[in-house]
Amino acid sequence: MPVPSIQSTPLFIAIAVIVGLLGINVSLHSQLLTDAVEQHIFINLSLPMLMTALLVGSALAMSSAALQVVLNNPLADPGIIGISSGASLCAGIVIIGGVLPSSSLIWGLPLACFTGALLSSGLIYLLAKRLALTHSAVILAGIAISTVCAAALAWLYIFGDAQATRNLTFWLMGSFQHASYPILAVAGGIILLGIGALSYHRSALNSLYLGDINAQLLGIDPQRLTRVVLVICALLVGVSVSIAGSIAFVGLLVPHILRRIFGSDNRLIIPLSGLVGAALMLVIVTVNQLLNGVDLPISLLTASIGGPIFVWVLFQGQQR
Amino acid sequence: MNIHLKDIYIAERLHVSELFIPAGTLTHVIGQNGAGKSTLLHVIAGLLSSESLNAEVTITEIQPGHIAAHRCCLTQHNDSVFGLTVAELFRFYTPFAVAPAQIDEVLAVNQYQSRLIHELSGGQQQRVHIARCMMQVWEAIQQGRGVLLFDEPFDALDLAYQIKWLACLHDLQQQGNIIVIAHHQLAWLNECPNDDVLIMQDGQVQANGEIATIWQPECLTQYFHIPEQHIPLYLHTPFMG
Repeated sequence: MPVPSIQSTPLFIAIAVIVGLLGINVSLHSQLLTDAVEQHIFINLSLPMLMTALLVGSALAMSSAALQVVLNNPLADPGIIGISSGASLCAGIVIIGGVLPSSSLIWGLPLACFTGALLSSGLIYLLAKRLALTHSAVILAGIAISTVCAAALAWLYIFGDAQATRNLTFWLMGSFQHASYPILAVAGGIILLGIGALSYHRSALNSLYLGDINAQLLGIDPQRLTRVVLVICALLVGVSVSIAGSIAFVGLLVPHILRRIFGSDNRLIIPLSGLVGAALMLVIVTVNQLLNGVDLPISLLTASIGGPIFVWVLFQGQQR
Repeated sequence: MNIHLKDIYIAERLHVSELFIPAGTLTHVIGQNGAGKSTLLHVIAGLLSSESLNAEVTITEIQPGHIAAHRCCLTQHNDSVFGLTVAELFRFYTPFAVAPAQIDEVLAVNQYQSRLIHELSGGQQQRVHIARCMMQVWEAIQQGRGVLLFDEPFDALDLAYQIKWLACLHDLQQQGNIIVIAHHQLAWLNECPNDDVLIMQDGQVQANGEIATIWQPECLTQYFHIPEQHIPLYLHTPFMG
């Protein structure tokens, strides 16, 4: 029997869905070709929002898919290693602490979040390295950092004024509306590089399923691979949180469901997670667009849609 | 192709000043728990480095960069928290999607292709992992240029599979492959007088050579601390005077 190549059909279907969703979003602007105001809205509001959704969705889902393998934990997501918590804390300091004048928030907030994400990732990495960089050490260090950041954020809430805390709450639940082209240019560049780097390692990730020793026997350096993937994921998540706030559940949900349906081959799961993550975020944007005027926080929608699907998949898995 | 170890030292685990394992041999590594059997296998496999400066671990005629195509090693722990199927395991860890006929005849693993590994019984899982290890270096094995290391492979295997698999290993040994098995099934030593035995104690090699010439009743008392009157009947060997 010949060695079966990985199925590419799911990848094409996911791409088709993304194109379809983009089409729907464009068609919502019915006067796009004739009306100048409509064009202005599309180019300056809708388009950056769609691009943010695509970038953030693929970054979160793809990095989670990789994190689950390197941390040997099918329930890992960027939250579990505490990357997003550092970013959230910095957002809190900027929004509630009023560190920056409100005119510079549009670029100051993403920058602060990115700094926070990098700082917390660096701290987690150093802590885990002192604990010998085992899988559980990374997770434990992440939990420690998250707890400290969450506590600091809670203190900020107590001292913040009502409007600021409300702004922060909304920001923490995620939104695609903050992005502007200059920020997208930088963030998009980093995310695309990260996605490329993860794709490059997707085949090697397959050798980690049976633990480090079995990977080593295949001639792969598991410690190095883990380090490289952790750094890439920290960058991807850091950038995502910076431009769209903290988005719950997508990271855990997408790769977990895909593994249940299509198996564990990372050559398929890593790119497919990216595409499905992007498609899911487009669905959220579309729902928000259809609800004309009400801008629901993303985490609210991801949890509302994703939660029931997750339960359904769990039951399907039982019957497999 | 030979294995040559020199000046290996790992604190409190292993101390081997010189060890030579020639091509076409099957060596049983035996000894008490914690005697250094697994550590020795891991050193040969290249998983562990010696702490001494002049240490040498050489498998002659094999480029260090190609070691993964020639040397396989069944370790004791092979669990995954992810639900992998047998087919996926083979795809991720070997160049084959299904076990070659010669391996499948002995271990009967291809029937489990679509099953999740953790749903198989302990013995079935062990057969799958043994097959996976052999498949990793199957091309080299067929050329008689394989180094096959197994750490407690008989665990959970029923006797019928132990017999079939060991016969298969003896065939592969005849073709020039080097086979090293660490295990506790001392009864097998009585069945294979022409194999080699390597007795370990406190991280050191105490005796090494052909079973027929080395394996004596005193060995059980000396290296396993079993009083003579407690030696079970099935271990009274034909060469025990």
